[in-house]
Amino acid sequence: MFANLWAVEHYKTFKRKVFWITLAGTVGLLVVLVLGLYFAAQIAVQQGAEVGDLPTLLWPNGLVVVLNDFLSPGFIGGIVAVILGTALWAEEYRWGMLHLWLSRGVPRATLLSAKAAALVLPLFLSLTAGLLVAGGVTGALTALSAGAAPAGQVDFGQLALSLLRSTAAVLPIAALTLFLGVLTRSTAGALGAGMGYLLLGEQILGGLLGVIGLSSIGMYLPITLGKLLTMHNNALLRGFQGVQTLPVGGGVACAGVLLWTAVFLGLAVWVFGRQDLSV
Amino acid sequence: MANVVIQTQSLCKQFGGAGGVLAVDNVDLTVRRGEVFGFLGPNGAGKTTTIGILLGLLHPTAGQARLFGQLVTPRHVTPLRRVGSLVGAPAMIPGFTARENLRVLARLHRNVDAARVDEILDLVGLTQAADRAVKGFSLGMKQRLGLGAALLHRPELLILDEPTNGLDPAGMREIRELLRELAAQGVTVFLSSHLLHEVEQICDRAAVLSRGRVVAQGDVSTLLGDQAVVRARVPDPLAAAQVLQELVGVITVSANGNYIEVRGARSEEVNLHLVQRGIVPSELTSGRADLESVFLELTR
Repeated sequence: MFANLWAVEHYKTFKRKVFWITLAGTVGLLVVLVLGLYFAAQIAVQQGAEVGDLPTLLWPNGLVVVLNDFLSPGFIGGIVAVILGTALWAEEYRWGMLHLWLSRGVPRATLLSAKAAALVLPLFLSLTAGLLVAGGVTGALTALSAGAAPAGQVDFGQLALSLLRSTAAVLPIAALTLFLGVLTRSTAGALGAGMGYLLLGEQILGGLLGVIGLSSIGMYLPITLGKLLTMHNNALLRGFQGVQTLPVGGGVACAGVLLWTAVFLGLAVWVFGRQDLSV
Repeated sequence: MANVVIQTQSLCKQFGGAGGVLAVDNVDLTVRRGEVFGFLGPNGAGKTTTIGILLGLLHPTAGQARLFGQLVTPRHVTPLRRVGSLVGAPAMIPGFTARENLRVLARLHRNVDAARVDEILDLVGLTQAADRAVKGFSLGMKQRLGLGAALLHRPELLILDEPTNGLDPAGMREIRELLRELAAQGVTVFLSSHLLHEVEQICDRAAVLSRGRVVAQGDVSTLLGDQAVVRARVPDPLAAAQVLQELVGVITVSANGNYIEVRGARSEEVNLHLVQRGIVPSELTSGRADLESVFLELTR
């Protein structure tokens, strides 16, 4: 049953426009960001400013910036997770698709788990597409500036592992959006509350924890842990020795984001199991 | 018991906790294999809530619902794999075609292949529109597709809420014939409908729900037979109505212009009773009540 549902969810996701629009939007936004920053830096340099950020957009650093800064859980990666989480769950409330599955004998926990599991591949593909296209653009810019992109300096194996870590880093946001979708039973509710938490909520929560002297706990909030995980990407990709200087170790950050994902999904299953679904 | 497909016992559903709305109040239903069972009631009577419990979408507050002898709640859903349903607006992915929507559902069932999808599209008259996006469908077309989705996995029990909603008269007739045909093949049909003539035409048995309670349940012919109406033209309808209240078995007497209408007594009993009391009817007719008048009487 779970495998069938998982396959069905993938079939639906990849046939729906919302996935392809999200993918195109992610890639487009990244390209605009990369080009915008590159040309802004170029203009600044021409006007006599220090070289500044220009080299960071060139290979091999350009790839790291795209993956770990632009596609981070606190920025475009998180936004993609909220949009896909909303589309996969909350929108189906409106269409009555959840009722359809449940009235055919699908257990609620199985349905929700299959949907959550089916979010991983679209998220991974969105981040991969973003990295490939925007990374390609940074490569082209590198070739434009330096004559050739130094592919030999890129650790592609570590980059692939970083892509997996970045996907893991956005999972708590996707799971939180699913939970919010279950709780609010509305597309607007899931999208609004998900974006609200992503863009403001955790910062406010972290600030409040700091005020009461518990800023160390703030390190373990879901988006912050995701960001810390991508900071480890940074360190590993750039070959920095500063991994130990981060406040939370890579293993702990990874375990943390997976734990948050499990907590949000557990809450979603618990609430969903107790809900009356109006017909 | 093996012959019983749906059984509810003292089923209750209260919304809003204690002091809230009691939508379903001690409902006992029994539906047997292969019959077409009508489920009637005015808006807000609790029909949809009862169906929601039968489909494992709502938690009953008290009592229980069983399908094929097995308990059904949101946590006990196994028997629902043998059920097809169409409740409310048919659930579809708007951007998908009719065929794609059915294929999505087909993936959930082992016994459904592409040929079955085509067969269903043909059965519900959507072959021509199979590759059009559902968002452009009329209500009737969506209803046909919803019915097709309900039938896709060859269910043993169909639970349908207003299945002919949005269909033209020819379409309604086709669906009625289809339901009778399915029942002949052994499929049990639980049909909630506002169209009383529809229920009268195709149902073997029916239950009438009013304010959350079952007020009548049985063979449709019995429900109608119990409610034969005797109509008499009398000089003083009010006096005649008062006199007839004394007659044993009379359920209701109502005066309407120069006529009185009596339920629960035969014409010869009415005639004799009136004549014995000095009221001579100038006209006397006896007819079988239609389901609409029975329904209105029961749910008044």
